[in-house]
Amino acid sequence: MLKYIVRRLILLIPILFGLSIFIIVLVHALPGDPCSSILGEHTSPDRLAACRHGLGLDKPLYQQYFDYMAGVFRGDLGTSATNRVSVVTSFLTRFPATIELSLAAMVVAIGVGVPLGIAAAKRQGSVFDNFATVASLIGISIPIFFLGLLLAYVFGVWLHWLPTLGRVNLRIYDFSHAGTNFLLWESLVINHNIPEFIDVVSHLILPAIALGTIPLAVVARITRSAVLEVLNEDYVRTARAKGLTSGRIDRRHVLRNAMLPIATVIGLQTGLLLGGAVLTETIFSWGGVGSWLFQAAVDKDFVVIQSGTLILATIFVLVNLTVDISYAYLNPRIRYS
Amino acid sequence: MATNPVALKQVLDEPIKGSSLWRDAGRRLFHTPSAMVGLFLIGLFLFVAIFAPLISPYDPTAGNIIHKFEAPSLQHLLGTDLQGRDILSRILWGARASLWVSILSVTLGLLIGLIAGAISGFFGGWVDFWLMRVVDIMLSLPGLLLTITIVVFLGPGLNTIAFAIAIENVPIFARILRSSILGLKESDFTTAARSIGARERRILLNHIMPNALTPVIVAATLALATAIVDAAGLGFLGFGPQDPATPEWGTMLTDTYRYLTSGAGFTALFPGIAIVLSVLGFNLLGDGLREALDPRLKR
Repeated sequence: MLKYIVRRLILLIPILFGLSIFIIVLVHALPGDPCSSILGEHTSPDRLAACRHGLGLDKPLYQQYFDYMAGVFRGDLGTSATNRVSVVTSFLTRFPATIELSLAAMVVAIGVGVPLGIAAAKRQGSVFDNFATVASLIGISIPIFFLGLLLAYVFGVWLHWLPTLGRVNLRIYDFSHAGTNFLLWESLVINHNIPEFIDVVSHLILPAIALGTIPLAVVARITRSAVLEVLNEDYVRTARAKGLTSGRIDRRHVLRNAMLPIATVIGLQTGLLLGGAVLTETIFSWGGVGSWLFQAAVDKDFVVIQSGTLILATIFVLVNLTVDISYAYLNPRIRYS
Repeated sequence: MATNPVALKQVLDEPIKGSSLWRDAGRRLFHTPSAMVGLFLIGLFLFVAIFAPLISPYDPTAGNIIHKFEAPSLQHLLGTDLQGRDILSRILWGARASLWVSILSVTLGLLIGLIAGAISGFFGGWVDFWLMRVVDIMLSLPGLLLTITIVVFLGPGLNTIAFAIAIENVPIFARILRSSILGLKESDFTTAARSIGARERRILLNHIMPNALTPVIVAATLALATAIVDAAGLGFLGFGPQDPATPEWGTMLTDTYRYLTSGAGFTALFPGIAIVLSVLGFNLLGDGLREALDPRLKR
């Protein structure tokens, strides 16, 4: 097992190398550079050249690539061309916000999607099953930004039930001196401040639902079909014939075997979550990685785009590795060597 | 029937009709209610996109600022937007932008992806190895970010959006075609065709390709749905057509977003529903096709 993990991690290296080349070539092949964004349209060619020289953009591409990669190996992912903040610093302050949002979205997706899928499968062909099928198809078809706006309008502007902007009420609570940017953790475990924790949670609800709905629908659909398949297996009939309670059959026989495709989908959805975070974080003014990289793209901030994409791709690949490893736990017939 | 010798003879004299893969699939598709709903929604979408100039009640670009953010009424069935333009007309015209982006992006993605996938699948060896590594790399990129980056650098507009989405689709189509070709190369019917002396060319075109393309057709249908969502998302973020004379559904949602807390009407509702319905149409059809084209599910 350990051998398998190590081999997968080694295989990751060429992919990341290839990715770094792909991204740097892509970004430089496309027209425009950060200097034209920083200095604006009405600038002199001299200032443009000076700026380009300052950022090292006048060097040949391979030289830029080697300089960049040399930095990466020293743990230096570069500094932003627009605000001169190091990419690592920006990432570390913003990533906790995205983790909290993505985890909350996954809790919504799995917490609702798996039970919904099981319930639909067990009542195959019923009104409830048809309703769940139609609902999950609509869930897959609804764009994040539309759902986000709808939620913000109904629960924020109209009903005034939940806040729609930011991660916390900045007029009351101050996290600027907190050790980490995990506000759920900081408010509950470090500060023991229950009203503060509730405020953080209330800010999290709408973005999490907006981001979690598509994974929810996908998980529900996959769960339904996986459970349906398992329900027809001989061993389920045997278990029933033995007189096991239906709860036990569900937990020990059906769900355990249906977990495999469900786990695959959960892994794949994580990559989509990172993409969807761009839109969700924009709508709800959530200071996470998504809105940061979006701004970097708008500013044509080469270094941030390169490094940010590399980090996110690494996370995505690692998540899928974790999913692959979890197969061995979920299905004892799978043995990695 | 067997008791009636005349009828029996009739049955025996009839040439055996092979029902082709496509006819079978078509028959199954037309018996799936959800796929029919999908086809209906797509039909509606196409109709609206094509006949927008004839059916829209107002000029989609003509606005009267005095009538901004009006609620739906008999004059304006779906109300008016920030600049007092008729929302219904803008939705009808906006279908053209979505249709254009989705078709262009999927066609372009298919063109490049299928060539890469076919080369990879047929030739194998080191060509296959390197092509698939490129596919691996492209698939490990967070999708929407790649699209946004490309659009930012190439400039906003429908064509650049379509191009960016096409790039995102290429590795998906390439991988699907390659894996189905690899599976079919080893299949029994290929061996059977070869053993009765069929030429490689015939095996390739008549046996492998039609079967290898079925998963691609499903993926392409679903990609049309994703393209509409992604294009609207990019429009929402401000990368849509910059000419206000070209209505685009995602861009129409931006107004609501900007003036959400300052008492604007929820003008995002109807363009949003238009996006959901057209995306739902392609998703339903894709699902139906997946089941109809799977010969193992033959009824």
